[in-house]
Amino acid sequence: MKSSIFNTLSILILVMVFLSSCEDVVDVDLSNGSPQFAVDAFITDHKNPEIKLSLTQDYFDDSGADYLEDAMVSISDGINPDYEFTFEDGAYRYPSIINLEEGVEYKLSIISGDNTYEAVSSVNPVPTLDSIGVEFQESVFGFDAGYFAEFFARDIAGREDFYWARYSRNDTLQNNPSDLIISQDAAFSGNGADGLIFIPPIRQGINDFSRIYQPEEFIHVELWSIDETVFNYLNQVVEQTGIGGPLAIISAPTYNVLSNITLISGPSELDPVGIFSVSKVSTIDYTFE
Amino acid sequence: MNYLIKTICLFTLIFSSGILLSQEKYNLSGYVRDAANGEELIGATVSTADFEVIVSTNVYGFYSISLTAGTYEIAYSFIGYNEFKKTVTVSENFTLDMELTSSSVNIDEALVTGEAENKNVKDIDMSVSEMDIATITSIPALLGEADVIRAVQTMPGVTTVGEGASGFNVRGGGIDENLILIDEAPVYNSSHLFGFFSVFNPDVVKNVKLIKGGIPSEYGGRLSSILDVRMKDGNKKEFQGQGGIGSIFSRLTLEGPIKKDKASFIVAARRSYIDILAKPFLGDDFQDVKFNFYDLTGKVNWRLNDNNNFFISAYKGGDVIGFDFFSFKWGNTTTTARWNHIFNNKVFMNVTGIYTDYQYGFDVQVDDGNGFKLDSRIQSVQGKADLTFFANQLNTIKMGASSNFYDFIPAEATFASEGESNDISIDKKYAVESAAYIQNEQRVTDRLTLQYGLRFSLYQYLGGRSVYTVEEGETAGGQSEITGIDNSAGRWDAVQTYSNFEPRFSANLSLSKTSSLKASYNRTAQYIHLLSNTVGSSPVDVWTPSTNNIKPSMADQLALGYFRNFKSNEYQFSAEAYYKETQNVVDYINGADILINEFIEADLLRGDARAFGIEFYVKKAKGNYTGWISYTLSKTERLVNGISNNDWFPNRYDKPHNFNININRKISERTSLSLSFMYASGTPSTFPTNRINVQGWVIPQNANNERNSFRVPAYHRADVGAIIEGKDRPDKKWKSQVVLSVYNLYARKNPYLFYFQQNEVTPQTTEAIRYSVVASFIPSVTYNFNF
Repeated sequence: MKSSIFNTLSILILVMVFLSSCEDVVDVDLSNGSPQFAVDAFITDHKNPEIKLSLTQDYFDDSGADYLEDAMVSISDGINPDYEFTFEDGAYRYPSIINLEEGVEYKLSIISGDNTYEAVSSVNPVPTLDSIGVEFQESVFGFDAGYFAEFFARDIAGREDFYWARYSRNDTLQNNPSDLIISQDAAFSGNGADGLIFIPPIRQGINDFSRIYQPEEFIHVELWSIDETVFNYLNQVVEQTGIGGPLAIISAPTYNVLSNITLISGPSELDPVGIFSVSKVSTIDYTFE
Repeated sequence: MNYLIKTICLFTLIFSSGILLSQEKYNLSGYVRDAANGEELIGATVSTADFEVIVSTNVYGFYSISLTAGTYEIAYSFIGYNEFKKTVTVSENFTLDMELTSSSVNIDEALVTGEAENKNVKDIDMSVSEMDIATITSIPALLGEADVIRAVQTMPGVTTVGEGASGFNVRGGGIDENLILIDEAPVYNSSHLFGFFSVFNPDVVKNVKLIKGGIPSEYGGRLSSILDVRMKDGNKKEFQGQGGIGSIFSRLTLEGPIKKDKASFIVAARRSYIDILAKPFLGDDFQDVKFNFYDLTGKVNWRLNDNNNFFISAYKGGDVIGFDFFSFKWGNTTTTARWNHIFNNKVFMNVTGIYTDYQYGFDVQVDDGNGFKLDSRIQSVQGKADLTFFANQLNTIKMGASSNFYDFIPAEATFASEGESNDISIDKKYAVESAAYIQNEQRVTDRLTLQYGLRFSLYQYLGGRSVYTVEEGETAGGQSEITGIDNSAGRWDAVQTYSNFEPRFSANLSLSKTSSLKASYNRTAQYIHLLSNTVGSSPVDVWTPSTNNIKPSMADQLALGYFRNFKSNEYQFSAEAYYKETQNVVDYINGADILINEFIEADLLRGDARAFGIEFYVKKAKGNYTGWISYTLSKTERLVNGISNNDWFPNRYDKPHNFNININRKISERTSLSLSFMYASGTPSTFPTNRINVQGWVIPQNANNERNSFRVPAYHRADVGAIIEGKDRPDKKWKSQVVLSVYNLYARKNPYLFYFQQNEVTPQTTEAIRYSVVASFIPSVTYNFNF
C-alpha cells in the first residue's frame, strides 16, 4: 500500500518537474544601437545574381527590411570585365548567370554614399547529387505515416570542402535559419569525413519530422559549395538564431556573427555586416508517389 | 626571486622565535571518536579547562596537545555531543583516545552542547564554512533529497547561475575553480545531470568543509575554493543500516564492524528509478527508455595497531540517458588508499594514493552502417604524503608533497556513414602536476596567531603526441593562427614546464574573548581548465590541461574579517571583505568549437579577472529557533582582448546581491519545521540591439559590441520542509522518519535566461522569450529509515 502511494507520487512529481520548466513571451526593453550596413550577396551559377543592401533596424522592428537603392555594386574576377549590377525590384541584379570558375577569387565592390566596401570569396567545386533515397515510415509517436527522404552525394576526396544544402518543398523554400544544413566535407566539422558519403544527419536534413512527406508532394534539393568563411558564418547564424527550447540551458551565448565585408574607405559611421559568397550548385528533384 | 628570499627570511625569523620561547613540554595525543559507532570526529576540540591551550582533531580525528608538566582537566567537546572532562597528570608524552556520547536534544536547552565556546572566533580559519550532516539534512531540499552542494550554496560568498547549471561559484570564480574532494580524491563534475542533484550521498558523508580564502598550503590546484568532503568510516561497534525511499532516489547504506573496534566497512547505493516506474505508463514507443542517476560508495578501514590505520574508499557514480538508438552516459570513478602513521605523540603522517576516472560518452547507432560514438575521459593517478609535526604549544608545522599524473583523452570517436567508417579521435594529452609545501601555525602572543606557509607547484605538459604552437589571433577576438606542428616530443618529455611559488598567510588577532579580527593572503595556481562556452555548464564540457599555448591561471586573494559572538555563543557573527585578482582566465572566440577539435587552442582567448565583495553571516546556534542568514554584496568581471570593446565586462556568474536565510524550529519532540528563502540578483546576459535581414532570416546583432551588458530579473525562491520522526520504540531497532518538502513554494518562474527568436507564424516578428527551469512548486515525500 505504502509503496503504491509512493510510486504514484513519484510519477506525479516527475511529471511536474519536467513540465514545470516553461517559456513565456515577455516584453524586454532593449537599448538602441546605431544602424549598420547589411549586405546579402549569395551568388550562384544556377540563377541570375541578386544582391540586397539594407540598413539594420531595431531588433523588434518588424516593418520589413528597408532596401537601399542608390549604391554602385559590381563583381570582378580579375579575368573578365567587371559585372555591373543595376537596382531593380528591391535588389541589385545582373541580367544573366555568371559562369563561376573553380579556384577563382571573386571580389565584390560596393560604393554607397561616401563609403566603399569590399569582400572576397572563392569558388569551390561541388559534387553531383546522385539520388534521393526514400523510405516509408509508419505512424509513430502520434504523427502521420508518410515518407522521409535523404539526398545521396559523395564529398570530393583529397581536399577540404564546405557545403550548404538547401531545399524547397512544393516550390516553397524551406528557410528556417536554425535548421540550415551545412557540412565540412561529409560531416558537421572536424577531420575524418573526407571522401565519404554525407552522413545521415546531414542527408536527412531535408525532412520536417513533424510533417513528413505525403504522396504527390515534390522537393527540389540544391547542394551549394561555399568557402570556409561562409561556412563559419552560416554556423554562427544557426547558433544565434537557434537558441531556445529546453536546450537553451546549453546554448551558446549571444554574440555578433562574423562578416567578410570590409570598409575600404570612407567615414566609418556605417559598419558593414552580412556576407558575400560565390557557389557552384548541383540540383536534384523528386516527386513522392 | 627576491620575493622568495624575503618570504624564507620572514618564515625563519618567526619560527626560530617560537622555538626559543618553548620550555619542557609534553604531548598528549590520540583519537576522539563517537562512542556509539567508533567514527573518528573531525574538528573536535581538545582543551585545558580554562581554554588557555586549545587544539582541534584533524580530518582523521587525531589530536596532539602540548602541555608543560602538571595536572590538568582536559575537556573534549564536539557539536552535538556531550562534553567530557578528564583529569590527567602530564609528566611525559602519552596517548589518550577518547569517546564522546552524542547528546539528545532537549527543546528548552541549548542545541549546541558540545561546541567549544567561541571556536569560530579563536580558530585561525577564516573564510571557511563547515557543515555537519545534521545541518545539511535540515535544509528543505528539492524532491526531498538532502544535498551537500545546495547546502554549500546557502553560505556567504557562494552563488550559482540558477537551476539546471551544475557547479557553483565562490567569490566570483568560475565553476572549475573549486577543488572538490571526496576522501582526498578530486571529482571533476560534482552534479548529476544539469545540476539538480550532487554526487554526494548524504548518508555516507561525515563532514563538509568549504574554504573560500586563506587557503592553507596543503591545498592547491584550483584558484577559488576547496570543498573537502569526508566519508564516514563505518560503524566499528555494531552493524547498522539506513536508507530512504524518495520521489526520485532511493538509498540504502549498510555499515558495520569487520572486527569490532578494529576494522569496519560501509557500502552505500543510491539510484533514481524514474525510468522503471514510468515504464508501464509510457507507450510501446518508449519501452527502451533508460534514464537513471546512480551513486555507489564503499569504504573499508582497518586499524592495525595504535600507530597505523589503513583506509580504502571507492566511489562510482553517473547518469545514463538513452532511448532507441541513442544513449549518453557520464560518470566519475574514484579510488583512494590511505595510510595514517603516528611516529610518536608529536608526529602524524598520512600517505595517500588516488586513482580517478571521469568520462562521458555518446553512442548513436542508427542502423548497421550508420552511427557515431564518442568517449571523452580524464584519468589520473596521484600520490601524496602529508606530515604534521606538533612541535610545541606555540607551533604546529605541516609539510608534504604530491604528484598527480594526468591522461586527458579529449575524444575517442568514430562515425560510420553507409558502412564506411572513420576514426576522428584526438590524441591523448599527458601532464604531471606536482607540489611541495611547508607551513607553520604559530601562536605569537596570547592575542596573535599566524599561519604562514609556502607552496611550490610544478607542472609539466608532456609529449607523446603532436604539439602545435598558436600565434595570437590576426584579428583581436578572432581565431589564432597555428604555426608549427612538432612531433618529436616523447611520452615523458616535458614540452612545457610551469612552476609557481604560492605563498599563503593568515593572521588572527584576538580583540576579546568573543571577538577577533582575521586577515589572509593567498596565491593559487591552476593548471587544468574547464572549457565551456555555453550559457550554463553542460555535461560535455571539456577539461583541458595547460599547454605550451594555454598558460596556467594565477590568483591572488586578500581577505579581512571581523568575527564576534553574542550571548555566550548563541549568536555568531562574521563580516568578511575580499579582493581577488586572476590572471590568464580562459575565454573563447565567437562560435568557438569545443568538442572534438584538435586545434581547440586556436579558439581560445586569454584575459584577466577581478572580484571583490563583502560577506555578512549571522548564525543562531542555540534555542528553539536555529538557523543562519547570509548576505553577500559582490562584483566579478573580466577583461579579454577583443571582447566587449576591450573594456571590463561582468562575468556570466556576477550576482551583486545574494541573500539567504534558513530557519529551523523544533515544534515538538518528533517534529521540526524548516524554511529557507533566497534572493539573488539576476545574471548578466548579452542581448541584441538590432536585427540584420539576410536571405529572409532575422539575425540578432548587438551594435554596441558589448558582452553581458543586460541583466535578467532577480531570482528568489522559498522552500519549506518538515521532518516527522517515527514513534520512538526503545525495544525496536527500526527507526523511521518522514520528510515532507515543497520547493519553490510560491511557484516563481525564475528566469534562467532570455533568448530571442522569430515568431513561428510571422517570421518577420521577433520576440523575447523568458526561459525558466523550474516554474511551479514541487512537493515531495521521502521516507527515511535506519536500523
